[in-house]
Amino acid sequence: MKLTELQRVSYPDKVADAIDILSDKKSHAVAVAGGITFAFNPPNNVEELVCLRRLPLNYINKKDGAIHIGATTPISDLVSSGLIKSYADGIILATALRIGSTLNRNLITVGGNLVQPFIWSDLSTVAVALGARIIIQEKNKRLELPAEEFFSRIPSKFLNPGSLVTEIIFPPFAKNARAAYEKFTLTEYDYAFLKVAIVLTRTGEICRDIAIVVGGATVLPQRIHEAEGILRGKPGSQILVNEASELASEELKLARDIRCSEKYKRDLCRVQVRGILEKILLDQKVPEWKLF
Amino acid sequence: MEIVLIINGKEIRVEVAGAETLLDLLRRLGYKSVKFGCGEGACGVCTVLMDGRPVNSCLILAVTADGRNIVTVDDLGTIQKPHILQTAFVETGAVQCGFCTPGMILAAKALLDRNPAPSEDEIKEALDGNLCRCTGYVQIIEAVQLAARRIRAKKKVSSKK
Repeated sequence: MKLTELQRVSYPDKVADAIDILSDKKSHAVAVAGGITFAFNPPNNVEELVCLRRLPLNYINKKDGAIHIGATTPISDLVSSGLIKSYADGIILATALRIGSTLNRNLITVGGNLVQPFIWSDLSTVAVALGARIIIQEKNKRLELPAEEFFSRIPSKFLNPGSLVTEIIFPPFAKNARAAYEKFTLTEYDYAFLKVAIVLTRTGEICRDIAIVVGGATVLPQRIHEAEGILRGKPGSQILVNEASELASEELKLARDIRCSEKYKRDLCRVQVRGILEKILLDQKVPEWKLF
Repeated sequence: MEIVLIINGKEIRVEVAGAETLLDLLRRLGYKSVKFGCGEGACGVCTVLMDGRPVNSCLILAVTADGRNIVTVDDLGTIQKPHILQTAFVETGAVQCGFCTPGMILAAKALLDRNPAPSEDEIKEALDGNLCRCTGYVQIIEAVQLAARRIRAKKKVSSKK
């Protein structure tokens, strides 16, 4: 039994009020959104929980083609959103649908999934691939970080105590862009062995720009730059796709996973990257894969 | 720490410990239909409706449930007057040991409240966090489909009146 020092739970309804409490070192306060992490592993030395659920951060909007999602939006709202369904070939929807079960998705928030990128967190991979921006509100300033920079370190370790991730912005998705996400698990909502998100823009057969991002290999998502370089600026071909997927599997950094060998994960990475590229770069018909 | 929440329509004021989960609190208060299974959000037997949404009560700290509206299966019907879903579960044989049934029924209720005509895939998705180790799920899905048909028929009749 932990949280023995807990004195109070506050429910601010303004972001500034939440930041005031969190940045006061004497308060020993931590923010709680969906709260799953706290229920799993209640911390010690916390005197105040700052519950974020009354903040006006539960929204999904479209502005000038960009999708703005508030940090306290539950993942289940992404699943039921028409905006999310129609954005970027449905890549965010595909990701959200594979985050835990329906019961979990009603609790997990977008902000929580981003700030605590456990090896099983999913949104980070897609955020980096799409070039999303993360909004961080501090006491007297507002920061806007590209997702790639945000996930270059563990966010919960570099964010100041009074910092609050308030929003994620997914940029407008170009008409000539394609995107796809694949998560490999043993059961429907098991932790992924690997997940791969690829976003590219094409002019005819030429791949203009591309982001290949692999999650689940380590805590933070990895952008596979060398593999991207093979395809960028060239017409898509099976030979290049094979070469890029081979390189992605070699370039990938891996944390130890008791469920399988390193070789298995590298093979999996190669197959996943190749499969997605065949689908969105070479327009090959790939059979839809369903668990049940 | 004292919290106030609404459980099955009744306002409850109660002292809770810092790390006590909503599941532990509900069982301590006598709502034994909310079961303890895995304790880590994987099995769904502790499902309750929180502000209308089905959630794992084992994953919620009771202190953060202050002001929430909680519904357990006890609120749905009685033995004399069961809920349409409860009747459908019995009639289709969707119950064997019954341990998962309260959670299944609450997850199904949340689905039918927002979508009275779900497809089979939508039912599977809505119940994906509720595990059953006895029935094999076929009858559970049939039960939800049967309840959905009856709810729609009932609505049709009442709209004609």
